[in-house]
Amino acid sequence: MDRAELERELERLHAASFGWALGCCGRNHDEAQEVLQTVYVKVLDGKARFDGRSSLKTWLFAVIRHTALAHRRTRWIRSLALLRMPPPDPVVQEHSDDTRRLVAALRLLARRQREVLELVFYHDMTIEEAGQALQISVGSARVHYTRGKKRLEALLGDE
Amino acid sequence: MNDLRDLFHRLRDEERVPAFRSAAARPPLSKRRSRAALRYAVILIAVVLGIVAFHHRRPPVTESIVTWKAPTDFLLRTPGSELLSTVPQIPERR
Repeated sequence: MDRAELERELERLHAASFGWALGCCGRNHDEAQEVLQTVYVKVLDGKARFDGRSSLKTWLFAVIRHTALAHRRTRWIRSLALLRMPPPDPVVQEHSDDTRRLVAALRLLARRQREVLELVFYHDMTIEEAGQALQISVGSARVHYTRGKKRLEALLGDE
Repeated sequence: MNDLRDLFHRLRDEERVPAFRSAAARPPLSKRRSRAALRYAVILIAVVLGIVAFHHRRPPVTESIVTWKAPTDFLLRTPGSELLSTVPQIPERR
């Protein structure tokens, strides 16, 4: 896949990629944008290579997830080393009451459960694809899905 | 299950997505931070070098050798050496 083709594919998947980056960054708009920029640079510079073992979307989602985790670690180390610079003004996402409740409930789930549920319900992936994006087995993805869904329904039902 | 899916889709529709071009073109914040940190480091090094240079200035070359005093000069002063540099006074005879 040459650079122009790769850029076209990234543009096609941009909305979904941004949604996934938001999910990996606790719905922090600025952080998600930052992570996605880093991912695009990595992909276009050839630092992250698509080997065709899964779909491009699944592979890209795995790269986004890894980059978001690395980004979070770097931020933590920076905050320890007092090198943190003042953050830019955060972009506030406007949500309805229902979706605000959903976001709050998602924050209470275990990370893997939240990730599987977002991939399945938000991105319409199958559990198998979700497992590939998270680099875990289908069985493990299914367990996270079942437990996460049960807990999420309980959390949304309690309110 | 469909309720959950609908809820997630509503969340997806509400979230604003930045344009692809702006996301791909801007250098990542981490790079911008590195550049800012580099700038601060250069300024800091310049200030430190300036301070060090100021405190380690060479002594002025106009100083005469006549006015120079050895730091170990006091070692040459022996007890009673003042007798060698002054004229002793002889008391008057009555």
